[in-house]
Amino acid sequence: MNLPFSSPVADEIVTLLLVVLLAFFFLRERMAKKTLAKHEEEQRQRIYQISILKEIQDRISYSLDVEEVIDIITGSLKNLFPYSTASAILLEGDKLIFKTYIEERINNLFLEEVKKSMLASISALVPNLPADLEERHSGQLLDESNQSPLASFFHIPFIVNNKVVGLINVSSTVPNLYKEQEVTMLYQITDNASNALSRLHAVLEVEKGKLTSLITGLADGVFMVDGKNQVLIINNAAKKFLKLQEGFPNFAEIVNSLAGKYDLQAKIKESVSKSTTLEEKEVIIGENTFQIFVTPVLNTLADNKPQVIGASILIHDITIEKNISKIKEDFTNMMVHELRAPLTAIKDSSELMLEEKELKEAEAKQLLGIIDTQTKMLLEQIGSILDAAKIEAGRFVIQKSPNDLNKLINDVVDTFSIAAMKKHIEISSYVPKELPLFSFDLIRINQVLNNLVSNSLKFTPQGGKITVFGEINENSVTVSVSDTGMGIAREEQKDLFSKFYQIRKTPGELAKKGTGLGLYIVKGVVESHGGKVGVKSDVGQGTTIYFTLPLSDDLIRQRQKNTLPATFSTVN
Amino acid sequence: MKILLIDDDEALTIVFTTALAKEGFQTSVAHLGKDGIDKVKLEKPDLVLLDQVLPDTSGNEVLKQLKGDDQTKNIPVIILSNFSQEELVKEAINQGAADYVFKYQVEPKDIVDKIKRQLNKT
Repeated sequence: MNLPFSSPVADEIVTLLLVVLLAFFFLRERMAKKTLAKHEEEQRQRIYQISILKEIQDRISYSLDVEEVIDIITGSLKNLFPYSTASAILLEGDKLIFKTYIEERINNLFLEEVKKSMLASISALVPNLPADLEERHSGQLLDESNQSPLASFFHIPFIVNNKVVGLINVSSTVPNLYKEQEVTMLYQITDNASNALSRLHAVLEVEKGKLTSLITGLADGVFMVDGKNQVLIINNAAKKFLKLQEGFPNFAEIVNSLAGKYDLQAKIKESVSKSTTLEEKEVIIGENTFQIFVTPVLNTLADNKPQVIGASILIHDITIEKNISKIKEDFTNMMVHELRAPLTAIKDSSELMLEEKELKEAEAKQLLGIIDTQTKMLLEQIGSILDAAKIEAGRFVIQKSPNDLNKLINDVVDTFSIAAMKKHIEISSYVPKELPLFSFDLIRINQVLNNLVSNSLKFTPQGGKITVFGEINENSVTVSVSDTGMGIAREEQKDLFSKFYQIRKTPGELAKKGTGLGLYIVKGVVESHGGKVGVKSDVGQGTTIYFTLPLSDDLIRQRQKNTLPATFSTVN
Repeated sequence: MKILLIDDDEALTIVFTTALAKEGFQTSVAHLGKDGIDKVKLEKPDLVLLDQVLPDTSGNEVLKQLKGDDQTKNIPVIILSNFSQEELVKEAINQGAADYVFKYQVEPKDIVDKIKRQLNKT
């Protein structure tokens, strides 16, 4: 039976069609399987790549060191694709570092080719490359019997904060090995690492900015060096203390500025090795004395093992403290001397009187006179010390009552007139006639006047003049004691009323008489009255010391009513 | 025997002069370092008592000048000190002072004994 289309030819066609169809489906399935396998492989590769990337990222995220980051990257590459060498060129300071990890034993020519192509590439990216090149190889040894040339390679630049800091290279003896995939992979790793580093650098810059503004303002000198003794930061106080020139100093300049006084390099080394702060109690630079502290700077971020990354140095100026302790020592010595001198005289006089049987009456009387005057002097000095202590503690009390200042001034001048006459010094007073009674502590102001006049008498040579002036102003009275004595240098005047000041007759010599507390007490008494003290003097020009005492509000009003001009009367 | 006392503490010079007079010493006094040096040269005393703190100079400076002058270098000097500053005393001994006395630690008769001992030596 013949079907309408049935024929041997038609049968063949049908069979062929079936075969073609079958082949088509078979091929399609094979294709699909292959694609699937390829996808699977890609996926697997991707996951592996991600895990490697994650690991790299974990390892580099705390490192600020470009070299270390690049080492981590080149060290991880063999997990990703095959190569003969993985290399890097790093820009570090004023030199280039060429590092190669040799995976396959290639020959020297291969290595030179890699270096040449990398240098050509980086010099296109970075103008003015340093000429100094340091080479470091690791991994396998070179093998000159291997004649395989450099057949395939690619470079990826390493960029931090938009600046090229290095170049990574992968090279192989196998031709056409690297396709877009490998380049993309390394690019991604490098890009991630650069971003992490850039972020860390940005954070660091912010923190550094904060730290810089903090330490710039410090009164103490501060600077910091890293593990390679590069100066990272230095403040103005440190530069001033070390007498360094303007601009940013290098480590050698700092070490030189301390040469012979403090071995900075050795101290940093010691501090770092012992992981402890070193303190130097007294380092004298020029006229100042300093304490120097060296503290290791530790990095505990990456893991728990602290790592020394440098040292910070603090310079503390103790000149003032040293001077104060010297002044206190001088003061104590002087006090001991001042109190011991009269006591020794009293002791020796009484001993002599007790033991010497054949003393004449005049001699005995003289010794008793010494005991008498020295005892009074001692009491007076102890009184001064107590007064000064009370003034210092703010517990000094005055007892004011209406008194006659004119009379007081004239009495004091009278008291000193005999002593002045003996020294051939003319002493006189000028006081306003109409000065009313007003409120002040008679005993204390008497003490003030006695002190000022006796000081003048001490420092005025024969033939000189001492004058006490009284003057009435709008709301106060000014009393001044002027002499034609040796005068006081301008630079000494600011310390004149301070506790430890003593007029030094000869420089460096402890002036013998008096505790030096006199003018401090004068100031305390006057200020307790609400008045002020002052000095007008110059060397060789004599000295005027004045003080003011305020008038009461009632008196001021009364005086404003009858505005009589002040007239003066001369006494003596 | 002649003693020169260089000390600006008037009370003490009177006491010492009295004590020394009782032992037969003739004492003259200078209140300033400069006057002291002049008097040593002029009066040629057998011994000098020298205070360490003087208004015009230090006792050790006076000592240095006395010991540096052929006219005066052989006259024994006893240092008087009112401070317990051992260093100043040590310095004086090194400069050739014969002996020293802390004024507040001794009685007048001890000083007399020291003077006698010193004069017996020479």
